[in-house]
Order: sequence, then structure tokens, then C-alpha cells
Amino acid sequence: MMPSADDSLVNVLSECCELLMAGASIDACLERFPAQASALGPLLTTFVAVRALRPVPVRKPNVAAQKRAEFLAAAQHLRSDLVARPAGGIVALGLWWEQARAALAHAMRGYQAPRAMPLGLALLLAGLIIVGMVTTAAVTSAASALPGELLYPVKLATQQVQVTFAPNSQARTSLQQRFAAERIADAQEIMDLKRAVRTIWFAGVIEAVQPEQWVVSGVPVTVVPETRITGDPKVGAPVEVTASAPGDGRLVARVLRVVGPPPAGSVQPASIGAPSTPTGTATSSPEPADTPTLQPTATATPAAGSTLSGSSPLLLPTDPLDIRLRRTPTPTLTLMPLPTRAATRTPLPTSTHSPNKYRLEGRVTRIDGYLWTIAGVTVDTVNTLFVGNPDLDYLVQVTYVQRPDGSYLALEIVTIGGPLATPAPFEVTGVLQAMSGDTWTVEGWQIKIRPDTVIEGNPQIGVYVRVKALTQANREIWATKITVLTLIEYNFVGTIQEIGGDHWIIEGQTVLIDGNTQIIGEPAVGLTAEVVAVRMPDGSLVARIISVVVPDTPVPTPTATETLAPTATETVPAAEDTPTPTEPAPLAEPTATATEIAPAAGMPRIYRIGLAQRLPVNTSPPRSSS
Amino acid sequence: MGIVQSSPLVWALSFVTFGVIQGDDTRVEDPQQLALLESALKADPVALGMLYDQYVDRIYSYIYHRVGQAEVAEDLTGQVFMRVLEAVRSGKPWRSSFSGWLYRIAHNQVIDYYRRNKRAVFVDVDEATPVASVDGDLAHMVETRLASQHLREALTEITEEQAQVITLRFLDDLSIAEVASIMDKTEGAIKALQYRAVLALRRVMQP
Repeated sequence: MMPSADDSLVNVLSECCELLMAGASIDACLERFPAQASALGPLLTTFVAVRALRPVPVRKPNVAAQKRAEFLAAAQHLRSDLVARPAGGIVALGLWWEQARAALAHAMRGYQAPRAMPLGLALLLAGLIIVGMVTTAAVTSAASALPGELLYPVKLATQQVQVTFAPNSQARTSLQQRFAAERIADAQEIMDLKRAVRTIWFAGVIEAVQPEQWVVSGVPVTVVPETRITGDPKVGAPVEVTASAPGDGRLVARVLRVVGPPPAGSVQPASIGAPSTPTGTATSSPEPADTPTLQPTATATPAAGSTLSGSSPLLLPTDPLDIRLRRTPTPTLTLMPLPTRAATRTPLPTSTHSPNKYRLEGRVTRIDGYLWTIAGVTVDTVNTLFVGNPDLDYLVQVTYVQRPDGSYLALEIVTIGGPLATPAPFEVTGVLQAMSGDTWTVEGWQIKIRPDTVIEGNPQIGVYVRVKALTQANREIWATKITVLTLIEYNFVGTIQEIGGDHWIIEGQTVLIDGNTQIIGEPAVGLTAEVVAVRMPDGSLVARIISVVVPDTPVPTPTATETLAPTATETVPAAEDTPTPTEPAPLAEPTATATEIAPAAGMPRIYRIGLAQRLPVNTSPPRSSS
Repeated sequence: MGIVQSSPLVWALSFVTFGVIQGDDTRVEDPQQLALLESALKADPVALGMLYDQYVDRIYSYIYHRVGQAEVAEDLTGQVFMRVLEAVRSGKPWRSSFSGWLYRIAHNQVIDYYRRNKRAVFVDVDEATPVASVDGDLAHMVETRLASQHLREALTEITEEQAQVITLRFLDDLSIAEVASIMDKTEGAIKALQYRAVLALRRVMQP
């Protein structure tokens, strides 16, 4: 078969495009293919015109950096998620398999006589390997954990162990500096991720003090009237920050503890506003009760002193876990007294340098700001490490100390049981109307997003979601799973048979009209309309666009899409996970006749609707509208 | 062929040994790139970050050329890479070339964007600027009278595949081979599509 003229032009155009992209001129191309010059010329001119659109505005560096940071944070989170949830997919399985294989290979290295090993020994070895793998996986996963996550305490403990077993003081100081920097990065990441976290702790140096915001080692910290400020806030001074993240990208300070003066010779920027009048409740001196006992400053911590004496701007970690590990010479749980409720009410002898720690189990019966009442004992949670996101009615184990003034300070509150009432299953399907921190609104229901809530898809305001949840004793609805529903889109053309309020019948199909339905033209019973609709989870069809086809308008080539059948568009949302190119084979390419339609006198104006034209369905006829 | 079989995770890479696109028209088996992809499949954050750095500008460029708004392009680009993470998480990663897969996600994001926004801007053809006259100097007319916005509008009036091939080939400078990989077609089909695309675009641009 001889190639057609079009076939020839296809190849010639392709070759000329390559030449033009390489810098050749249109004339040079036309001279090269004189036989096709007349047909080729306009095409090459179009090509050149399109090429003029190539320049792309430079991405804003701050936006690009932020997007990159978001991606990297999400990648880190993904890694920890997959390791923490070994049943989560092939990737996690692979990670575990690789660890297992590596462990086995290591264990079996040099092992020559398998039959010589007693069965018991083999089982013991296997058990040890498995325990090692689990521990390794947990620690590996914890390395990327963030505040509020289950493994974050593991991360802190691991770091403390690293510090403890550092080979020399220089290495120890280096590790402490590194981990202090990590705390700051953790806080920044929580802000970037807009994650709601109850307690975040880090230490740094005051870089700016303004009435409603401080900047501590680059991290903006919001100061509210409830913020407790101790010490003398000056730029350059070391400060410990205990804050919470409400989930809107801010850190709201609960306690700002200035633990020392600025280094001698530090410059006080003149632009810093009102350092002595922060909004929070400032005290002119550190609280004498806290400083020597429960929340030692860096100068009170021997390990920290060496760093502070240096020039590093980072304060050493002195978080509750850090305190606990350092102050418990043998971190064996049995060494701690387990007081009864009566015992805890008895004034306890304490040492100003080594307060006794107590542990108590019970339900949280009251939460009043930072004061939690657990089994009748009220503890201050101002600088407490929460594990498992405890809340009202939860069964918890609290580790606490007594302050010199007799009050109790919780060092750690660990969830060991859920609330009293048996949670009741709850399901709702509908539009995601609002996303405010960890509270989303779905069909008017306030849904709490929990750290263990499984979220499938990419939830955004306006999408349809299915929520599976448990109602709690305090009437909160805690989501266990939220699935973004993919609505399948349908296109069909048919006769309008009935128009009744929000229910129309078109070509035998009942379609619902809602506030988002675009009606183009003047619909009337008997007229033909093109419908773009989506199938709702309840099976109903909701019209997105109803475009009345004006009888006088020439309609080129009716297609098979007139029957109600899912078109190629339905594959698009599903394809995003594993994209496969949609194959809009029946596309009716715009023809000259389609674009040449001009509004004749008395005819409605002609509009092009981008959506319908972008969709690989019946694209040809422009819609009419009055 | 050199299929990587070092773990059960990399079965997908058996498909990747061909068609690793290096950013130009080179299709090679690059061991380093394969190793990077393998690590990314294992959710290695460093590898994922490197892939992000390799492709983010190209994906941004593609999306910008399709939507014409920098802010939207930024958002959609971010979503594309989040899709990558979701795919790794769900065990449904790329099975052919990574870049082709990535561009397809970007393409779907663009489609989805237009769908969500329903093309809220209606173009009244009465107000459309005539691009060229039949007997005029087309090159001059195109260069002087077509602002980029108008040409973009013209791009929206050809088929999705045609717009995609125009964008990838002429705006993003991808080779026929690369476009073929992204669109999962043969190179011959891409050439033909390219021809029809230019033809359709010219037709749309004419009064």
C-alpha cells in the first residue's frame, strides 16, 4: 500500500519539529521538503507559536522549599508507617523480609553443621532473632517518629541511651547537640504538617520576642495569655519551650522557661519588640519550686553544662524522659514505689535534688486545663509526656513527682485502657464539609481524627467520604477509617421527559439537580439535553451539567456515548493510584464545522464548556444557552 | 535481561529495566537510577527525596503549561508527589518507566483539576480574538496577536490527547520516545498524534 499524503506529512512534520527544536529555521525546513512546503508551512508556523509558550515562571524559592519539606516529611512518615505496620503492604513485608534475611545470613555465617545443633538451641536462636528484629524495627521506625506518635518516646529513649553510652565527653556533647537540633526539627515538622499534637518540647535560643510570638531557634512560637513565662526573656537567652500544636501550623506555647541569661556580649537587636511585655503571664524570676527539683535547667544538669559553656546556640535536652532516665540510676520499674491513692495524699519526703517518683494507675476523671485528676490525684501536666493520647475516662498510668509546695507534677501519662463506655460503631457517608485540625465535619457530624485513623485517598473539602467511627462516652466520634469515595462520572444524551423540581427524568434516567448543577440553555420537556452526571454512593445520579441541545444546531456525528454507560472518564480518578493512560478512542475531534458555528440572529449565544470538551466523550457540539 | 531480584519488593523493577528516561531522549538501563528506584520502592526517604529533586521541576513545568497558573501548578505538583508516596504505601507503584508513570499521574491531576473546577470560565466565542486571516502573514499574526492565554485557550479546544502531546513535545521538550512512554503508545502513533494535534490547533486558531 502506498503511503498517503498524510502519512508522508506525519513523518516530515516530525522531522521538521526536531530540526526546529534544534535551532533550524522554518525556511530551512521548507527548503528541505519543497514538495510538502505548502502544507507544511502553516503547521510549522503553528509549531513555532506554541513553542513561544515554553517559558515557565520561576518557582518561588520559599514555596518550592516548603513543598519539598512537606514531601520529605511525608516520605519520612511513610517509612515509619510501613515499618510500624508490617501488614501494611508488600513494601513493609519486603522490609521485614530483608531484615529477616540479613539477620539469618548473619546468624548462619560460618555455621557448617546444621544437624549438630539441638532443636531447642535452634528454636532459642530463632526466637532471639525474631525479638531482635522486632526491636530493631521498632527502633528504626522510632528514629523518624514525631511528637504525638506512639514511638516518639522510643526515639527519645534511644537517643538518651546513645548519649549515655557515648565513648567520650566530646562524642556525648556532639550527640546532645544533634538531638537538641532534632527536637527543633521535630517541632518544625509538626508545624509544617499541620498536625495536632498535645505536647511538644524543645529547647533553643530566643531569637525574637514579640507580644504574641517568640522565635526560638528559628521556630515561631505563639504566645497566648495562658502561656506561662518564667525567667527573663531576652534575645539570646536559652529557653525551654513546652507547647501544643493545634493542627493549624502553629505552636502555641504553654510554658516558656527562660533558663539563663544571654551569653555575654550577645547583641540585642533593636528591632525586637517589647521583650519585657509578652502577652503571656510572665514572672520576673524562675519559679523556685520547679527549678531545682523537677525541671532542672541546663546549668543544673551536669551533662548539659559542657555544651552551654560552648558557643552552640542549642540547649541540651532536658525533657521529662531525659530527667527520668538520668535520675533513675537503675531504670527498673520495680524500684519505684507504687503508692495507693491514700499514700499519694500523704505528704512525701522529697529531696530537692532527687525527688521520689510515684506511679499510679486509674481513670482520668477530670481535665481542667493542665490539671488532670487521675484516681483522685490531681497532677499538673504542664510538662508531661503523653503516650497513647489519653483523654477523659481513659485508664492511664501516671508517673509523677511531688513539688516542694506539695503539688504533683506528672512526668508521663501512659494510656493503658480506653474510656469506660463501650464505644458504639458509627458510620456516615457524605460530603466532607470542613477540616479543622483533628476535627472534620462530614454531613454535619463532628468527626475526631485520631492518630490511628486510617485515611484512604486524598480527603479535601467537598469530596465524598465514608466514615467509620466509634462514638465515645463523651459523645465524641472517633474516626477509625475515612475513605474518599470516587464518584463515577457518566455522560449521556437524551430527551428531557420530565422536569420536576430537583428530580428530572432524561432518557428514562432520574437525575438529581443540586446547587452545583450547571444548566445551560433553556430546558423544556421534549428537548434533547447532554448530561454530565456522577453516580452517588446511594446509586442516585446527580447532574453536574445539563446542556440543552438546540435543535437547529448541527450536531456532528452522534456517538455511542448516548447510552448510559460509564465513559473513559471514570477511569481517571481510579487511575491516579496506578495510572494507566485513558484511552479515549471514540473521541470526536473538533472539526471545522464545530468551531465555525456562529450565532445567527435570534439564536442563543454559543458557549464552549471546557469540562465537557476536555472529557473524552461527545465533544463536538458547542452548547447553546440563552 | 538484568532483572533485579534482590528482594520480593523489586518485582516491579523487572519492568523498569527498559525505558528509564533520563530527562532527554535517552532510554538506558542506568544501574544507579535502578538502585534509586529500588530504594524508593522500599520507601527510603532519601531515595524518594532524590527522585523528587530529579523530577519536580519537570512535573511543575508540565502542569504549569496545562493550567497556566503558577500557584495551581505548585499545588498540583505537590499532589503528584504525594500520590507517589501513596502508591508506594499501597504497594501499587510504577510498573513501567517511573517518569512515564509520574507524568501520567500529573496528567490525571490536571484532568481532575479541570473536573473539580468544572471549567468555570466560559469562553464566549463571539469574544474570541481571531488569530489569523487566510491570506495574512500567519507567523506575524500568531506572534503579535496571540497572547499566551489565547493560545492556551486554543489548547483547551483540541482533544485531551492532542493537548497532552503538544505540551509534552513542544512545551516540555520531550522526545517522541519519551512521549510514547508516557502516553503508552508507539512512537509512530505519537508522530501521527502530533501531526493531528498541530493540524487541530491550527484549525482552532483560524477564525
